Amino acid sequence: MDGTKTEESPRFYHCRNCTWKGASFRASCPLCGSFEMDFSVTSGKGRVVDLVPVLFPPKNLKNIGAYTSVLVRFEEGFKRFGIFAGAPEKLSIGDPVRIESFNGDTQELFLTNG
Amino acid sequence: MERKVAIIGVGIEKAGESQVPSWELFASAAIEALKDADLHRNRVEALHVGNVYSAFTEMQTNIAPLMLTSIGIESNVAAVRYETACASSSIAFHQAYLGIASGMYDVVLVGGAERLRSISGTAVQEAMASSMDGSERSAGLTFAAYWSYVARAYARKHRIGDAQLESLLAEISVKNHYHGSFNDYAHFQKEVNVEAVLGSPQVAPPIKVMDCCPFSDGAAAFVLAAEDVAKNAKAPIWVAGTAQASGSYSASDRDDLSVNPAISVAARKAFAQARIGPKDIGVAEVHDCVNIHEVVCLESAGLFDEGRGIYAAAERETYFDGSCPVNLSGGLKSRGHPVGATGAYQICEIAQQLRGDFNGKRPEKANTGMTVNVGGTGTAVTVNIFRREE
Repeated sequence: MDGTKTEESPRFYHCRNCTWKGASFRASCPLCGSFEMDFSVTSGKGRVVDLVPVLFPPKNLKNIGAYTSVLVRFEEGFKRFGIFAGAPEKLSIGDPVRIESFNGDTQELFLTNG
Repeated sequence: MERKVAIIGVGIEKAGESQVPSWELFASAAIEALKDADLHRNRVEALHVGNVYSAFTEMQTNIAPLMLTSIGIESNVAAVRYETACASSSIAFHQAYLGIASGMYDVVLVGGAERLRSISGTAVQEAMASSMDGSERSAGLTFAAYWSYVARAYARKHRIGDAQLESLLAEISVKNHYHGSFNDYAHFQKEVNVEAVLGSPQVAPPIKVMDCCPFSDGAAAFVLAAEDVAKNAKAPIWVAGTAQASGSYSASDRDDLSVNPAISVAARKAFAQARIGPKDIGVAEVHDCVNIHEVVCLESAGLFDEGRGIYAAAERETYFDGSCPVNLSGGLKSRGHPVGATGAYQICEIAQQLRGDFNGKRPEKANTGMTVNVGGTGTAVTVNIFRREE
């Protein structure tokens, strides 16, 4: 599993020389400057950092209607945005969430409670 | 040795809806700028222009030489288009400044043009979203959602309740519409009240429609010249400081969305070049694409302490007669946001403010002005300081 295929969990990137972790590719570490970068695949579990209801979905998400954008800190320590298709009242800051589905081609990442 | 550089002529088209292509719109602004500078077009040695979406909205690329041809300049001068989202034309300015300061050129025509109203709003939103991190966009982050995250982060940090936050943000829109109602070149020349802003449809709570700027068509141009040329101009406005910085492209990587370190870095550099501080700024145009961003710009640039910028409009400090007049054009909210031209509008407006011939509200006295222009989710930033010399 390398995090690039549909139905897998997404990659996160990390530095082998320090503690930096992030959701997006880096050729060198933004924290320590090391070129010793690597990636792993997340467990898919994390907690809500913040959330925002999106009442006018963009074209790629028109089919789901209004949704909640969620910023999640995954248990590996990196943050990434995801989509919660349920009502925003069902989520609060600090709540546990997990990846419900991920599409490696489109990078669409859906979250669910738990 | 670095040479002094000045704006010697400006030209602005009314922002709003245009029936002509962006390159023709730009040509009109450019001719106005050349007339204002009392300079023959043959003196132009280069064109630096901002434009973002002509490939999406007008199916036209390679737009800089087309703009040159539309102006009527057929000589073999350099022409280049800059694309850094909403900061495109102020970065075109920054590069033109460097070209003159280095001695490469004596006269550069600078500006921006955009046409966004000729296609559907959904298509414009799709095009604009391409200025964000692609994986974050795919994972449901929209520009409105991003600014909602920023507003929420700001409110949490400074312990502001939901209702107070929405009311204070609405005061910023009210202030900018008030200023814009006096600007003949503004997209929306009408006042609004707090109730209208609070009652407008939600987009991404707490952000509502009236917290956000419109998409506009528009073009603005100015003539930038070296001191030898500028000293003979009727009212040169000197570039006192100009700096560019870049923010992290992924919003999820940032620890604190309520500030923009790239604005702070660019502002510090621009102030150092100008050898002045924030209290010396007499008038400013800052990037209020969404009203919370006016607050981020004011605080990150050092014009207000952190946690104070949100109150500035409600306490009338940023009105034309306040202690720190901001967005007397109406800002992006009321003057409009022709994306690739917005930075050029800001610079032209500040030049006019310092000359004393701005067509709208003016501060009682201002010798020094500032622009803060920001692209994407805070990723491309310029801060520029201008000065009138007595």
